[in-house]
Order: sequence, then structure tokens, then C-alpha cells
Amino acid sequence: MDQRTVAAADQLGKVYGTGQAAVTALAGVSARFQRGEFTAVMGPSGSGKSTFLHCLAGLDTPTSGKAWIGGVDLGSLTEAKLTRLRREKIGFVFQSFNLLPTLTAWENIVLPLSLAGVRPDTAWTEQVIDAVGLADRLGHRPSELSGGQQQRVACARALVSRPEIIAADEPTGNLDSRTGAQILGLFQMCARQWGQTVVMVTHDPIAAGYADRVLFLADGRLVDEMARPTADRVLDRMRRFDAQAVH
Amino acid sequence: MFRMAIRSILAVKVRFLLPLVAVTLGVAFVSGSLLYGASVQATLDRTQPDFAVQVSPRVITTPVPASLVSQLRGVPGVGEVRPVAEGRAFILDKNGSLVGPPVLAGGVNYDGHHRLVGGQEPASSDQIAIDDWTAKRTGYQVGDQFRVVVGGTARQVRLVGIFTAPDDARVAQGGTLTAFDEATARNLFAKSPDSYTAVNLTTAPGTSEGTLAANVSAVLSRDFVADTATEMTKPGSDNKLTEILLVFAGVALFASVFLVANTFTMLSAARAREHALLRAVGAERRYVLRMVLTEAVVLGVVATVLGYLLGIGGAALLSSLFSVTDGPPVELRVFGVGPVLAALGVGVGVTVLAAYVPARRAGSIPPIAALRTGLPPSGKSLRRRNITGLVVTGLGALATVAGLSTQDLIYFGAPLLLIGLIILTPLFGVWLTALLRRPMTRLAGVRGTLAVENTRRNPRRTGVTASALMIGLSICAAVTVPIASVAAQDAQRADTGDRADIRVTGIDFAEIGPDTAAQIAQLPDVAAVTPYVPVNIQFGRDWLNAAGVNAATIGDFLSLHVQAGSLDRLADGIAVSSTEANRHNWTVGSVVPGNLPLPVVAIFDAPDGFRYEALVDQSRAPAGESPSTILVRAAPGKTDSLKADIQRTLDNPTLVVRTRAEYVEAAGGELDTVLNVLYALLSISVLIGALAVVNTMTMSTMERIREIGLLRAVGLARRQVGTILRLESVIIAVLGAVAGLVAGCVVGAVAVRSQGGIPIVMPWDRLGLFVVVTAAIGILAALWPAWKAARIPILQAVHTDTD
Ligand SMILES: Nc1ncnc2c1ncn2[C@@H]1O[C@H](COP(=O)(O)OP(=O)(O)OP(=O)(O)O)[C@@H](O)[C@H]1O
Ligand SMILES: [Mg+2]
Repeated sequence: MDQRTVAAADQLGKVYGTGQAAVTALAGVSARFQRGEFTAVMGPSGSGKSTFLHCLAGLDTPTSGKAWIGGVDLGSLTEAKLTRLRREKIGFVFQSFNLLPTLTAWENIVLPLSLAGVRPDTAWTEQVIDAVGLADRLGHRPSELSGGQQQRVACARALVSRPEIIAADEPTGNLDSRTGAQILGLFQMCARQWGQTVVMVTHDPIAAGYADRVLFLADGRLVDEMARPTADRVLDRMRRFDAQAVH
Repeated sequence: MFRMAIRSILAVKVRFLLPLVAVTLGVAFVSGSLLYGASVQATLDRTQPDFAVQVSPRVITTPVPASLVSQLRGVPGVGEVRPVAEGRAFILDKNGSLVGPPVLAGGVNYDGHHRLVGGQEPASSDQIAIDDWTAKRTGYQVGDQFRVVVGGTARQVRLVGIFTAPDDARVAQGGTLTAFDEATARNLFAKSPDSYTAVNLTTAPGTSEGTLAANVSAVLSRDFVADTATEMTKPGSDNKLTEILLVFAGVALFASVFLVANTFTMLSAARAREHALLRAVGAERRYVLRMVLTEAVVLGVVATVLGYLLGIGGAALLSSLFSVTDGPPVELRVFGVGPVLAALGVGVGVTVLAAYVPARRAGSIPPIAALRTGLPPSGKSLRRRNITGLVVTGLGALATVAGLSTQDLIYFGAPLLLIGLIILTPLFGVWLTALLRRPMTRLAGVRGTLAVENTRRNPRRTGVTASALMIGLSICAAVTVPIASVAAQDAQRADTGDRADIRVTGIDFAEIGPDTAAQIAQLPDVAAVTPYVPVNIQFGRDWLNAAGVNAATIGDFLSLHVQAGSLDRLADGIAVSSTEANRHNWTVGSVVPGNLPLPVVAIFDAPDGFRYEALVDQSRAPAGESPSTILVRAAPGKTDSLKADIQRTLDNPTLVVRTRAEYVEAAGGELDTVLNVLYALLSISVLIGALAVVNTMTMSTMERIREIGLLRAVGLARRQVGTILRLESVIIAVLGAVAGLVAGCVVGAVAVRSQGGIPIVMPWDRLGLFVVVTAAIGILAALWPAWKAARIPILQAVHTDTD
């Protein structure tokens, strides 16, 4: 594995259940993610995108294959080390349910830092909060925020500890195009200026257009890869999927 | 961490309310018991005896002669020698009723030892002085005339002095002290003008209590003993009372453990995704564990503070409930290092202990759980738990049954049995609901099905909830069965002893006047009278417990089966029981040796409950000896009017006059008071069990807001929502009640059996009542949740994010 590779998947497989009820969510996906690279993962619903992201980021354990982060095989880590790795090297944005309801927006954002016992870097934190446009909502509880605002708080949380890898599962799913663009711009900046590796699952070709490359999953397999995508090319590629699916 | 814990407690404050109440009650019970115990101890500590050694006769009827007093003056190491003539003297208040607890009615000779605060010392046989507390509560003043009962006879006396006796144990505990002049006191209590009942000695400077006691013992004859003050004030029954209270407090706390554990389990389930999210963003297991435990600590501290305050009130309640009822007010000790530490340990300890398992489970949640929708699966299968439960129950049952022969094993077996059953309650719940599914469906349609399925949904939770109730009820049953059995036997004994229509006894073993029987015999409508005067016949090391009776009428009262001889000649001899006759090889005509040599005239089989081994004529009893009981037969149909006649004639509140029906009932009912006190103590545990049901119902309703909304959306009426919840909570409550009562009955029955000779009586009426009460608890427990659930607007319910 070369110096620039931050994370890698090696024939990742995941089967839910056993016997008759077994569902193959991932059927051997290999990919590398380099420092400063912004990757979008796309594919039809149920194709295994979320599962792939979870296994890659050490949230879930694959049933076959390996996931590497920073040259370490996640399968070889103890629970405690894996926890530390998640805290220090990975920032997550989930598809839903991202925030602790009892904490304010601000507390949710700095949660990974509080857990690590680190003081937030004020300048960077302010920059992140400005970017997600939440400066005036910091004292509110998640229940007092809209779905999109909650999602932006989650993004801010993923960014605030400046993790090496940012894993986001449909972060812009609930957002209007302007706010979505703000967040995607932020991810882009993270990758380009700060050298963070961003992996983002999305259904939106426009969102994928912000990425450096797109991985296409279907039925748990990596079926295609596109470098320097644009929204139009992605849309085009996806139409071909649909066409295949029809036949 | 603490801020976060407080925040998350406040966020779900309603759910912490009931566990808080439960732990608060438990802490209050513990600290109340300790504070009360400390206060009583302090009161008793104040009443140190004012002597170092007391010389008293071995048998209380032996007088202490003046010669012994002068002999004691010469013993080395003796300081002051204070001969006393003490006994029982009952003061009657302005309404003619007794003042203070009868067992603590003391009479003494006035020797200037107690300081007069008013009037002068008594100087003649119709003058008395009383303690100031009694003067205060009766309102008697120097110069007043009233009656005092001594030796079973009421005397008219004049109050001439009031003294203060704060260090007298009787007065401190609510009793009375009546002082007579020396000659009168000696006549009354020592039964002879120149004897005493005891001699109190102080030590000369430089002599220890023990040395003095040894010196004194050296000069005493076999008839007298010397006790040191320390020996006489060994920790009394009040310490035991504190211990008993603490046991019940422990039971209450044990029940609250389940409530707290259930709350934390349910909260952890509800917040599983929050915890998983924390784990996903890098929180360690320990962090989540500590977070949940911190909540428990905060809860425990709050409960401790509230519980301690409540405990102060509880101690006040206890002190008005027990012992020092009528005494000079006990100073309640509000703070003590011991009680405060115990409250803190118990309050925080119990919550943390109860929260530990749920907290660990919360910590071990996988981060991926944050991403799953729906509630996390309810947990592992019950197999391991059931096997453990069966083993523990089996061992407990074995040890309990082994208690039949080795009684101590029951103390080990009973808790083990209870714990085993607690482990098994989820299984019982599954069984019970499997049984109930069809009948409930037939009874209440789909509502019945839903109620049963809801209780089955999480057998552990149902089991833990039922356990909280089970604990209190099992102990209720375990105390009720023995007490009911003993009470039934008492009643039976009172019934078979004799054929008296009316029985006269002294209140709390107060003396009956020697002439009382003769007085009663004068009344019209009296068919026969006999006293039972205790007569102790000693020969060598052995003795006979004999009764002096009216030889002419005893045959009317006792249906003794006479084996040999005849009771007709009792006036000339002694009748002995067949047991004693066999033991000593006596036949009719043999002379019973000892202090009362009499020929055996009859040998009888004593009926059940007849406690005398021999009968003699009352004239054989020592002069002035008072009867323990007087039996009366009335002319046919005159029992009630005769009873009223006797009461009027005797006019003495220290005598209890009861008809046959009354004394049988009283004998069976004596233990009712004990039982009621025990129920009062156990009610706290049952209350906590009831709160556990409310708690579970409330929380599971909150979890199911969506479901309920859906049901409402498809047409379930509000009232019907209530029906489902009510049925569900009644099932849980009855599960706890039945399991607890069965366990308690087994333990209680074994306890009775191991005593031997007492037939087991199952108090079905009470047991049935317990089940009805728990069913009612179930219905009440669903009130609040049903009210809440019915008020959820349909749309909100469907939209509420319970994930
Ligand atoms: N916990 C689970 N148990 C069983 N099957 C699961 C589980 N989680 C996911 N699956 C299955 O695995 C497959 C892949 O799921 P995954 O969530 O990765 O899809 P996805 O590509 O993220 O879909 P979407 O775009 O709808 O979010 C699906 O068929 C899904 O049903
Ligand atoms: Mg997905």
C-alpha cells in the first residue's frame, strides 16, 4: 500500500443472516481512497452503499475481506483501539438520527472533542459553523431544529475534529440545493485544502459532481468507477444502470 | 459528566420520578429506623440505674429481711445501702382508667431518693407521691384524692407530693411511679412490715462494680442474687426493634432495586441509538457505562437527601407508633453520622447497583445499532436464565424443606427460594400468558389478545416488574401463615382448657386481689367460682407446677379424665397429672414430697392447653398469694348480666373480665396486632412493588406511542386503549402476587412445621384478599398511563419518533 492511500477495502463482503434468510449486502468490493481525495459512492437503493461505508469506517464488521485505515487492518484491532480510531481519524455523517437529543447543537458539534478531552480549535470551529450556517442556532436542541438543520449540525460534527477520513451517508439528502451546495463545498475544501479523505454516499448526481471520482455499486458489487465526474456524466451513467435493470 | 447526567435526567424526568420515589421510600425507611433507634437509645441511656449492684431474691416471693440489709452494710467496698420495697402500683386517672402502659406501672417506697418538686413526702398509708410526668398528664395536684391499685386491690389515696424521676427507666418509657411511705410500701410489696423486695448498693470510692458484686455474692445465701447495673441494662428489646425495622427496610430496598433496574433497562433500550451514536463518534464502552452510572449516582443522591428528610418524619411516626407512646416526649435525634452515612450508602449504593447491569448493557451496544431503525431486539433467549433459576429454586426449595428438621436451614433456604423464583418470573410470565391468551381473547376480544401479547413481548421486563411486587407479598404470606397457625392454636387452647363462662385475669399479668374470688362468689347468678392460684411444689431439684383451686367446684370447670382416685377428696390431698404420676411412680395414696407433703387423691389426664401439672385446694396456697385467673360459671342465661355485675362490683381497671366468647377471640386475636404492625411495615415494600408496575406501564406506554396511535387510527376507542393497559398491568401484578404468595406460603408452612405440634392453618381469606389487593393495584397502576395514552392525538402518535 503506497504512502498516499489512507483507506482501502479488500474484497469486502457482508452477508446478513444465515441459510435461507441470508442476504448478501456486499459481495467483495475492493477500493482505495487516497489522501485529499473526495469520493462519491452511488448506486440503486439496496445496492449496499451504506453497508460498504460502515464496514470501511469500522462501524460494522465485514463477514469477509478486510478494511484498512492508515495501514491498519481494522479486523485486527481490539474494541478499545477501534473506538479510539473512530474518535480520532474518522468523522461520520449518518443517513438519519445523527444527534443526541439532550445536547444542544453546539454540544453535539464538539462531542468528539469533548469525548477525547480536547479543547475545540476556535477559529476552525467557527469556520465550520459559518460554512454550515448555524451560528444563530447553537443553543438549540435537535428537537428544535429542522431536519436539514440537524443534518448540518451532523456535518459540522464530522468536520470539527479534522479527521483524516470523513464518511458521509447521504448528507445532503434532506437539504435544499443552496445549503446542500454549501456543505458539499465544505467537503471539497476539506479534501483539497486540508488533505482529508472524503467518502460520501449519495443519490444525487449534482452532489456527486463535487467529488473527484464516483464509485458505482450494484447488487453489492463495484460495477464502475468514474474520475472527475460532472453531474451530466453521472446522470448519464445512472440512466444506463436503469436500462440494464430493466433488461 | 455530572452536568450531562443531570441534563439527561431532566430530559426524561418523568421516567425518573418513580424510581426516585421508590429509592426515597427505602432510604427514608432505613434512616427513619436508625434515627428512631438512636433516639430511643439516647432516652434509655439517660436512665442509667442509680446503683451499682442490686441484691434481690431468686424467687420474687421471698422477702428481703432487715437482717440481710444490715449484713450488707458490712460488706467491704459498699458505699450507700438502699433497701427498697418495689412492686406494681396502678394509678387511675380522673376517668377511672389506667395511666401509662400497665407493665411500667411502678410502686416504690419513698426514701428521699427522688427529689420532691411539690408537696411533701408521704407519711401514712393513705398518702402517696407520684412522678411529675404522671402528675402532668393526669392533671392531679397535691391534695387530690384518687385511687391506686396495688396487689389487685384498689385503694383510695391522697396525693401529698410530686417528685421528679428522670433517670427512672419506667418513667422514661411512659410508665408511672407511685411512692408510698416506707412502712406502707413494705406491707404492700414485701408483704411484711419489716422486709424489703431488694437492696440497691453503690460502690465505695475505689471499688469497681464487679468487685462489689463478688464481695456481696460471697455473703449471700442461695436464695439471693447480686446483679450489677451493667448486667441489668444489657441492650434491651428496642435494639431488636431497630433490627427488625432495618430488615423490613432492607426488603423495601430490595424491591426498589427492581424498579430502578427496570427503569434503567427501559431507558437504555429507548436510548440505545443515542448510546450507539456516542460509540460511533468514538466514545468508549466505559464512557457510556460511566455516563449511565453517573445518572444513577445523581438519582441516588437526590433520593438520599429526600429520603433522609422523609426519614426524620418516619422516625417521628415510629416513635408515636411504638414504645414510648405515653412517655415524656422523646427527643428526636435528627442528625447522626451513622444514619447519614447509611442513608447515603443505601441510596447511592442501591441505585448504582441496580443500574449497573443495564449500564453495562448500554455500554456494550455496537455502534452500528445507531443506524438501525426500530427498537433493538429484546435480548438473548431466556434459556440460560431459566436453567439458573430452576437450579437456584430447586436448591432453595431443598434447603427450605430441610428446614423441617434443621430449623436454621430455613434462613438460608427461604431467600434462595425467593431469588430462584425471581430469576424464573419471566418464565412464569410466559407460561401464565400462554394460559391466558385464549380466555382473555374470549373475554375482551382483540383487546385481550393485545394485552396478553404486550406482557409477553418482553418477558424479562414483565418478570422484573412482577418480582418487585412478589418480594413484599411473599413476606406477607410468610409471616401470615405462621401467625395464623399459632393464633388458631391459641384460640383452640383457650377453648379446651375449661368450661368457665367468665374468666377474670389481670391486665398484663397484674395481680388479682386474694379476696377477689370471694367477692365474686357473693354475687347473685353465680353458679360456681374457682381461682387458679399458682403453687410451686419443690422437692429436691424437681418441682410441680400446681394450682390452688376451689376443691368444691373445680369439677364444674374442668372435664378432666380421672384415671384413678377421685377429685371429690381434693380438699384432703393433691391431684396430679398422669404424666407426672408416671414420671415419679406415684399412685393414689403416695405422698408427694417437698414443701407441701400431700397424699395423691387423683390422677388425671390433662386436656390440651391445661398448663398445671397438679391441683390442690386453694387453702394450701401461701397466704396472700394472688390468683392468676378466676373462673366463673353463671346461672343459665345470665352470663352477660353477671359479667356486668362483676365489673361493677370489682370496679378495678387492672382486672379483665371476659366471657368465654370474648376470651377465645382475644386469645386468637392477640397476634392480630403483631400481624397488623408487620403489614404496616411491609406495606412500604408492596407500595414500591405497585410503583414498579406503574413505572413499567408508563414507560412501555411511552415506547408504544406510535403503536397506540396506529390502533387509534384504525378505530380503537380511547376507553379501549385503557382496557388494554389495565388488563396488561393486572396480569403483571397478579403474576407477582401469585408467585410471591406461593413462595411465602411454602416458607411459612415449613416454619410452622419445624416448630412441631402446631397444625398449619392456611389463612385463605387473607391470601385471597392479597390477590384482590394486587389486582386492584394493577388496575390503579394503569390509570395514569391509560390517561396519558388516551390523550395522545392520533397524528402525533403516528408521527412521534420513538426510535
Ligand atoms: N441489518 C440488516 N439485516 C438484514 N439485511 C440488511 C440489514 N441491513 C441492510 N440489509 C440489506 O442489505 C442490503 C444493502 O443494504 P444497504 O443499507 O447497504 O443499502 P443502500 O445501498 O444503502 O440502500 P439505500 O440507498 O436505500 O440506503 C439491502 O438489501 C438490505 O435489505
Ligand atoms: Mg443507505
